[in-house]
Amino acid sequence: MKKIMIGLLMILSLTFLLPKWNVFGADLIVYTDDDYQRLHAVIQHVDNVLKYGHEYNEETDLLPDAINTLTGEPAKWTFPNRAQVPYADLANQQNFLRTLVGLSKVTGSNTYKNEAVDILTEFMSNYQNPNGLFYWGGHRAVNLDTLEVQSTEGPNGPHELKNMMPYYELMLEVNEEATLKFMRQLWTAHFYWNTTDMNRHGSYSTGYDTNVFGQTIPDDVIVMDNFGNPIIPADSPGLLPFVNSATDLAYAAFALSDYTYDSIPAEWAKYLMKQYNLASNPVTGMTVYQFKSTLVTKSSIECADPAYTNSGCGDRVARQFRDFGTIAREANVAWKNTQAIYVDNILMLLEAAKKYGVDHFVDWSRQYMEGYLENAYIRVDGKNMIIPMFIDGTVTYGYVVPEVGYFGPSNMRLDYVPMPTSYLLPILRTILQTEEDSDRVKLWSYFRDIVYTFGLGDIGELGGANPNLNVDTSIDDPFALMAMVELYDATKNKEYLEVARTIGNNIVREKFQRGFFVDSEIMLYSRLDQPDTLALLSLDAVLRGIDLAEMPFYLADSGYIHGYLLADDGVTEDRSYTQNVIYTKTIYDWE
Amino acid sequence: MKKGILLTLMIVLMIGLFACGTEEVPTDTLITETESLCKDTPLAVGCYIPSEDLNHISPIPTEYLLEEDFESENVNQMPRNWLLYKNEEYATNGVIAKIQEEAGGNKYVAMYSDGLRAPMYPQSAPTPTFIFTSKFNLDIDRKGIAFGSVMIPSGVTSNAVTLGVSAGAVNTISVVIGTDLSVKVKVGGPFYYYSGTGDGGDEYLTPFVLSKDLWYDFRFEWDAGLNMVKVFIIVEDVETELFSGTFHISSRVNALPAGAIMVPNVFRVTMPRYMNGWAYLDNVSIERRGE
Repeated sequence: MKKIMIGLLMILSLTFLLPKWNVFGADLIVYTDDDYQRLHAVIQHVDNVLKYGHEYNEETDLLPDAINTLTGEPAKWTFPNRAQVPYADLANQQNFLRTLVGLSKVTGSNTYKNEAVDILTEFMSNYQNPNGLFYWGGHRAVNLDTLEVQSTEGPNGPHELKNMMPYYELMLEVNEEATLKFMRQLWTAHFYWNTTDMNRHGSYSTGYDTNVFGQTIPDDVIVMDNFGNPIIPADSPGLLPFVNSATDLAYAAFALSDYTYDSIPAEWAKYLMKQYNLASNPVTGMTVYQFKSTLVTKSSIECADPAYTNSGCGDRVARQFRDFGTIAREANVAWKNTQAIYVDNILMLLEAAKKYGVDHFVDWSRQYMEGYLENAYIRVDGKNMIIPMFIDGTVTYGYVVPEVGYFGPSNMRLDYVPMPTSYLLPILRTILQTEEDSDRVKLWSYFRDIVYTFGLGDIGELGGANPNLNVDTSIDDPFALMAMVELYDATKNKEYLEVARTIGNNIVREKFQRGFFVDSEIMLYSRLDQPDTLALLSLDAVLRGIDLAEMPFYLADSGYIHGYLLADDGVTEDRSYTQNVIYTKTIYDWE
Repeated sequence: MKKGILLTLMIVLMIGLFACGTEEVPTDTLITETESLCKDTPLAVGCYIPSEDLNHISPIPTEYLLEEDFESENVNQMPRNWLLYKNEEYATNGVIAKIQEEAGGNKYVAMYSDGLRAPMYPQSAPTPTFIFTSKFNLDIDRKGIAFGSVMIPSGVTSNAVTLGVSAGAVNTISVVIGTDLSVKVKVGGPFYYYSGTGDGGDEYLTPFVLSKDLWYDFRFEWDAGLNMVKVFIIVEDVETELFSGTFHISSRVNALPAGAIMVPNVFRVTMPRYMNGWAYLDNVSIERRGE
């Protein structure tokens, strides 16, 4: 009896030693019919994607990147001469692959995961260049009419990944050899070992290097001046180390090290990410889009026209924003491409910290987020906004651009930029991965304001106590949903879960249209990379008591295709992106 | 004593635990909620209802023609059904296409270009400043005939002008009238995917030199089934063939010889960059081409 009592006492005492954030205990959750209805919509969407995606060309297991919800046909890239190519770009389908695996987890049926395996098996067996690069990314896809490789940037478009963060766990399961070869060649094709230049474009002609990562890691590119400010070299001959490409390089290297137990690729990834940290502003903490500036290689005659924005004419921000002096560099812009810096890169840093033990990445994430929010976040007219500025805090708000350039037309007035809901995830995940409560306070305070302004109510005190959430919120956003699910997962406070259920219901009601999930009722295309279904499955998983760590994780949905196409007017040639030309189409645009 | 302490501790802990439980858990919610029968069998019959076949719209295009004599248009206004390209960098009157009326009552389009700007992309390419277009569709027939009349005026600065048919942004066949009033035929191009920064089309000289202030009629023909493009000039009801040949490589999918031919769907008039002046347009029509 005494022993039993002591045992009970020990168990009870241990409950007080649980992590501080998990203060609410795991109550029994009832999985209701409403919960099932959300899952039902996800299953119907997936089944329709598989049915209509496969129907177009039954010779292949590959699926199109998006489906026209009026015709059931694949989205098509329209070249300037009207030639239409239905495209399968696996780099842009990673969230669908994660959705398939997640759906198998929650339904207990392997059918969906097997579909993902079949798709990857065909792709990895048939669409890998002998040098290791896959035919995917920003400029290459598979033509679903011919099943041949299609380029959108000249006949031989380069390899390009920008924040696509492939689902390496599944790829390794499907074809280990092809995946490892790709992860290694990604660096050989994009990183210049001797000069530390990096190119977002990689060549399919670069031979496979068996000695990849064999070089000694060099000194840091970024050194400080006498005042402790980073010197960003302007010596890159057009090979600009954009953070969105570097994020993919680093992610591949970490995944490679983790799988092979060879620590060297991860060391290179840390080196690469360190350059962005060194180049960040020492006062504000905000970080850079690139850690090098371009070398001028074109003649002054070629560059006389400001509309000619080739990087060989020099730094494109220095050209268009010269009124702002030396801070006006592409690296330092904090109002454009910020999703790449403050969302996608940070999510990768935090993933690396969590999965691969790179703890100092959490500190860097906190530095970047705190610096950005402290300086650039503002609430205007009840909306979350970003003040346009350079990373030293020099505000560009209200500036009227005197001439055309890379950043837009002449007479463009720089205004506040709406903060997307996707910012919720890097802020929250940084908070959750930060060790000390005292280090969490500032970000939590911003997070609380931002969540409130998005219409979700008050998330309460640090740690999740005393929330006053808007359980009837009308927000139908996957990032808000993921944030509430992750908050619940960390605190076990069911109030977050109730709001998550409301958001999930809103998503289904507003976005599940014509048999598919679309961005809104009027949008024409259902993208395979959309994050809504993955977010709904995360909610379904926690309702079932499945550990979120077992579910495929959201990292990005930045997939795109870029190249020459027929402009929206149907009569001029343009260079643009699927996101600007195809996925903006509504059901009223289709003809 | 020992037992007493232990018991007290237990009681305190239990009270604390129950107190927390009642405060944090809204019990009324727990009582009313019932577990879904489909939770553990989400794909079972009776739970999952696959969606019915979706009622999709046919992707087959609708054909339509073009018949523009501009007589029903308003003077000094842009003709309906036509698109004049401009972007933010164009001056207010950098390009003009407006209806004018001749002394005899005939209405036509007066077209002006200052030649200063052009579409931003593709860069370093000889893209024209003035791009004036109207659309049609003969995608099922895959053959057709286009007519267009042009005049190079005197009394104002006249400009070089190109008119013809194109598939989207890519010229199928057109006539190029230079500032010297010479007439060339252009087949294909520009299609930078294929040609880099060059135009990529082929030009053919003709012996014709136009005179100012006279209307000239041109007839363009195409037939994808026969891989044929032609252009004629019509002077006083006499047709003279200027060119007869095959579709240019830039009209094919991926600019490959085996690529399918993309048939025209745009009547296009352009005036080049770095040149300014006027040209006039009238009587644009698209007809079906018989057997």
